Amino acid sequence: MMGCECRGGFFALRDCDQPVATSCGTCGRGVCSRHLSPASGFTQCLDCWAQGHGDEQQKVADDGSVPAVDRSVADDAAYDDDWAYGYRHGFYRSGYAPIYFGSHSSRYYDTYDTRSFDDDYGDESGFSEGDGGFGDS
Amino acid sequence: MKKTLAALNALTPEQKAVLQEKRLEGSYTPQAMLALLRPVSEFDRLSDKSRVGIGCWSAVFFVLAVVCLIVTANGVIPWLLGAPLILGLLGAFLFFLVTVIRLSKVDLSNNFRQIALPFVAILREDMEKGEPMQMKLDLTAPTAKTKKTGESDAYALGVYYKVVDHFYRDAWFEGSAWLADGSSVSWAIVEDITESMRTKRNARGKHKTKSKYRKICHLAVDVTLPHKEYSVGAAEPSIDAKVKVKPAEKRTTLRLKRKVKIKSNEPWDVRALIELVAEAFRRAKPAAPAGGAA
Repeated sequence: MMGCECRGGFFALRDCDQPVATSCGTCGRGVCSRHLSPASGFTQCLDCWAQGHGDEQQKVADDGSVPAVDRSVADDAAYDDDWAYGYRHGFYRSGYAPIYFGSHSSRYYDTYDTRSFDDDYGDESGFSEGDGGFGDS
Repeated sequence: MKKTLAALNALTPEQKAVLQEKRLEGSYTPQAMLALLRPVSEFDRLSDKSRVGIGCWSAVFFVLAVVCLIVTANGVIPWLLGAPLILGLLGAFLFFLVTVIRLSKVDLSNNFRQIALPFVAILREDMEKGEPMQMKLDLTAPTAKTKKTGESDAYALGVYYKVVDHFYRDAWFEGSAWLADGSSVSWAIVEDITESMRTKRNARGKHKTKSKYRKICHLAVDVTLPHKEYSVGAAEPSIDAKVKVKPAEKRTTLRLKRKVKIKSNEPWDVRALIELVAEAFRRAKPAAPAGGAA
């Protein structure tokens, strides 16, 4: 049986693969207990909760720019998993493309411009977007 | 005030020790550190919010005590009624005064809850559960006497006939951590603060002094990426940062530095530090598997 389908990490993403506790009420993915959002009453995964609320934490304009004063660091933030995943969602939306080390082929994270190793990647010469070595996961 | 005092009383002896010593140094898992410091942070937030109010109430009770004394002394209220009233008001004044002094003594630098805690919470996501991080955190005020490095001679500036600049150096946060992918991150933050005490004479001839602040924050981050997982190449920085790349046999170290300038003594945005670490990962790409295409 497949493990938790969420991805952990911030600067680089990796598969969780912990035993599934339940499925997310929004995306239907199998989720472990650690990746269930307490703020949603444990009905959503942290990613779905972050996508629903992350932009409230971190105001990102349509052009991807983030205002000078980052609203995500509210003075009363608990800095728990809900906060961290909300911040991660906002940070990725503002243009950061994390590297993904994993094997899940889920399309859930397609909105994040992740970089991962691709089998046909053999050109060491460049780092530009669209390089064969940087497949969108 | 009730909430603030309840939050203070709810702290464990270890958390109260952090408040008293205003320093934290050692090896902690991010989970343990957040669990230790979250209640301290909440108390500090409540304390910051309530101190002004408590100070105002203290002043109100003192003024009322004086008014009551005058009224009683003039025979408007009999001493039998006035004396206990005055004593009660003075008691309330003293209680509020002592409370505000007590809370001020355990006030922590806001850098702690607006930069250090969110940064640890983000770094935790990239660490293996139970993996400790090294941490040195100074929670004393950025303009504490021990951090003063000097002051300028008095000079005049516009309407201010006397300006004296006080200089402080606050090296308040450094640490290192191993991440789940085998990388390591170390960071050091030093802030150079200038407190400009400016005195002028207003239209009514009164001398007024106010403080203005400017701060240059030096952020330095080292990210060491293992060749097994990453290959590192040259790239234009996406943020205003200096980047040095030091390749070695098994790992490449990226040394990143940036300055954040602000015209206040308030904490800067933690995003500046997160972006600096992210800048190292932007330059990395996943290494080809052993025996693979690369």
